[in-house]
Amino acid sequence: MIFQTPELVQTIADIVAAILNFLFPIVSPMGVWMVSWMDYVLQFFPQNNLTFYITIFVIIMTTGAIVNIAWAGFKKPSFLDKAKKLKEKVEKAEELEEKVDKKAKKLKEKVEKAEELEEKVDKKAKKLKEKVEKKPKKLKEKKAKKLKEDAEELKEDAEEFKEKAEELKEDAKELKEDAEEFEEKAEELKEDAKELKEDAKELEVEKAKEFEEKAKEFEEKAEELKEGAKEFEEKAEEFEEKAEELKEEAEELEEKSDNPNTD
Amino acid sequence: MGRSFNIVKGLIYLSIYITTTMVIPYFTFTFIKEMQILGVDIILEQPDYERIIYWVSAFGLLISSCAFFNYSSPKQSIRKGTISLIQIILNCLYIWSYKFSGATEVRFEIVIELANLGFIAVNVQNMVMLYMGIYFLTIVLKGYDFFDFIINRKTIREKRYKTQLGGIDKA
Repeated sequence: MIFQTPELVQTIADIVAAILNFLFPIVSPMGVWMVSWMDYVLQFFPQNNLTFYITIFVIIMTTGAIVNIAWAGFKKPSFLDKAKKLKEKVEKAEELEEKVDKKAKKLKEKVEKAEELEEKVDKKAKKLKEKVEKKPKKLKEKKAKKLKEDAEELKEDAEEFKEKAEELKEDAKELKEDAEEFEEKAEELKEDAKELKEDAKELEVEKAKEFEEKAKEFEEKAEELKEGAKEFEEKAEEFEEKAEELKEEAEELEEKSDNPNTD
Repeated sequence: MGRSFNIVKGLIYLSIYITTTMVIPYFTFTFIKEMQILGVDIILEQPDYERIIYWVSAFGLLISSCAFFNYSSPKQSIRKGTISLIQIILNCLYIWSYKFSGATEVRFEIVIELANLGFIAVNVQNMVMLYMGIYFLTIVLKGYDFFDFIINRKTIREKRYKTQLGGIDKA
């Protein structure tokens, strides 16, 4: 069909010729330069030895197959591996955070209970003291017995309170250690995130920033927990002292109720 | 997908390049070596016919093997950039080998009933020059690609893994 319309062919030929004529002065000098170096390079190619080219063909094919099978380009880049490891670390840190948080909560509850116990024992001690102080010069035997029993009870309560305070102290120490570990992890995480930020580009930088923020958050939380643990420890020590005091008081009262006729 | 897909892709391009750089030129030159138009024998006076075929085969083999390497390599990889640059340079040499072997100045002898009436010489050297100029621009582009792949290696690799956190290991 196309050969039956020579005018169309002529038009196409004219257009192609116009394009070529337009490009010729621009592109042709480049072609001349190309030709000059190619003429030089071609001298080094064997002119009558097809075996040489066949050997190179086989070498390139084999190398290409081996290289592209062994390194197909799907292996995860190391900086992405780093991000994955960092994510795992963040998850572990989150678990630790939860654990430490729970411990802190429990300890807080224990402190509250200890405070209640302290109040109770304190009240009892006060009552008993009042009773002992108000006692008549000559206490009846029955009343003295009752007083002794109360003093013994107080002593037991004080002992319990002391045990609780000791327990609390140990827990507070443990919490402090956990908080310190958490703080270390947060610091490590922060450093890793910084490293990742330096290594990665574009998309990963955002992730690294996120990690860094999370690490900062963890660090703050760890600091808070550490302070909380310290506070608990101080409180536990205070309780211990108070328990000791109460115990002594109870013993004193017991002694007094044992010898009602002294004073 | 994956490794085998890349290799199959490489083999497909290998066959395409063998066809276009070796088989078609071979048949073309063999066909025009002795042809008859309207009862007039036009004999390709090309004493270096063998020579043309030699260069076509030599560079055809090199270009085809490079095409295999190039198309079986991962996208935007440095090795792909390197091999495609080599391939384009070999392409230039291949085109120029036509001239080198005398194929850009083809002489046809016109023979009617054993009487030699003269010859027609077709000189396509200017055409080849123009073609070379275009190839020069292609080399510049491939060179740019090559440096781009080197400079933006990390970004390219990140994008390749679509970077959900930690990336997707397709291996």
